[in-house]
Amino acid sequence: MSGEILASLQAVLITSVLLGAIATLVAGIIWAITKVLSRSEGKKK
Amino acid sequence: MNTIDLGQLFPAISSLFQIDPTIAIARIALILIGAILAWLGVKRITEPLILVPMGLGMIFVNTAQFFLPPYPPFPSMYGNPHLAPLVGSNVSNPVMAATEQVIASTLYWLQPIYALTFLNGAIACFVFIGIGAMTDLDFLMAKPFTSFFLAVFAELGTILTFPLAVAMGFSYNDAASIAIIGGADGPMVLFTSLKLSPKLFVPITVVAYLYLSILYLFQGKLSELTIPRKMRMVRMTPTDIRRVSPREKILFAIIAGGTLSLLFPVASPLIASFFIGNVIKEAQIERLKKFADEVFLNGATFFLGLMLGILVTPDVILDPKVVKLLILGITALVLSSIGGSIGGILMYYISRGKVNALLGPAGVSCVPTTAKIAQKEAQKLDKRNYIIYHAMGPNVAGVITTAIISAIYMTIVPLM
Repeated sequence: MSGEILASLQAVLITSVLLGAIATLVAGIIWAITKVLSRSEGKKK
Repeated sequence: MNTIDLGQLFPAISSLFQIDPTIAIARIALILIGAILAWLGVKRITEPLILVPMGLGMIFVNTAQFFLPPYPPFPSMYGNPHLAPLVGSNVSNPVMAATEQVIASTLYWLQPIYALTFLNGAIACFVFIGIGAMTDLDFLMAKPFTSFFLAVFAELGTILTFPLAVAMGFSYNDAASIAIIGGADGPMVLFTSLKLSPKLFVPITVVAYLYLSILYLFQGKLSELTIPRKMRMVRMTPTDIRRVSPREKILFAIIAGGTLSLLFPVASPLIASFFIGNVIKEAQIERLKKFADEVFLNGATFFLGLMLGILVTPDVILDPKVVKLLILGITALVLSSIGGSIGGILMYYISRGKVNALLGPAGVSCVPTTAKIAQKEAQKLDKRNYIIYHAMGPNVAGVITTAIISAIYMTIVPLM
């Protein structure tokens, strides 16, 4: 049983790191889209 | 002419005294619980869209089942002879033995809906298309890093409940499905548990929806207990939020949806459904939007509630695991709410007091309930404080982080 709990703790550690990384990636996608679009709109003006 | 036996004329009533008392009591209890759930929904004390059909389903399936004795071909399904043909049925093999047909008759009309929309998780995707078509990405896109920071903290219950459930004796698959309750997203719980835990998907999803319908009763109190008063008083105005163009939102939906589907193909049906609904909304395709957020969402929600209610039969509540499920379900939601508060407090300090800490618990992804709770709590202290627009950012980010975490579990757990 303790082996299973240890494995589950390892899994949640991996999950937490992945969650943080992917959430940052998605936020970064938004940031990049905003930057690119505002730059292209600035050029048009 | 033979005399008519009153017992045969009213088999449901007479069989009540013939079947196993435990099953009879469980069925009566389920009828009463169903009536209470439906009544609470009708009175708007809890969420009516799911709980009214669910309660009615529980009442009618358990009254109808009374007249059928436990059937010999299904000894293991003693408490639930109807469910065997329903669960076991598939569209490629519609031919059932005559006895099975008799047993299935009371539920037969719903069998196609079950086979075509439940077994493959499609019903959750339908709900997600509707949610996507209703969700405004403006607030998330205006402050993406703050929104995702808060939403990640509000997944604390989804993270910690997994080892807790394993420690309480659940398998990895079941534990991961239970943990998703902490994400406070009903369709996500259904989708994940259908994939990882098909034998327990009924109690897990029902417990999730029960708690989600009463979330507003305790989340506000928890925020008051965990967030200091001065942090709940920070005034935020809607004018602080920049306008986001539909072009930005459509691009985001396509790129983020594509990236997440590429990373987690197992969860791509849900991710794609959400972003498809969103693109329909932002592209202003009115007829499709109306179809997605009215016809599709309402229809799917109705059948989701009704079918879940019908699947709650005596064998479900007599399973000792249900008590543990009830404990873990509420633990997951409370932990997520506390995690949200921690995130909110940290963001208050990071922003040097400009962000109201109540935005943290709004990262628990029950759209838009938790954002509304944050607004209500803020207005308890300051009537002119409108934080709901800001709270929608972490709220919508919470839907995406719950999808991510559910995708990670669906990918990692089978490898364990």
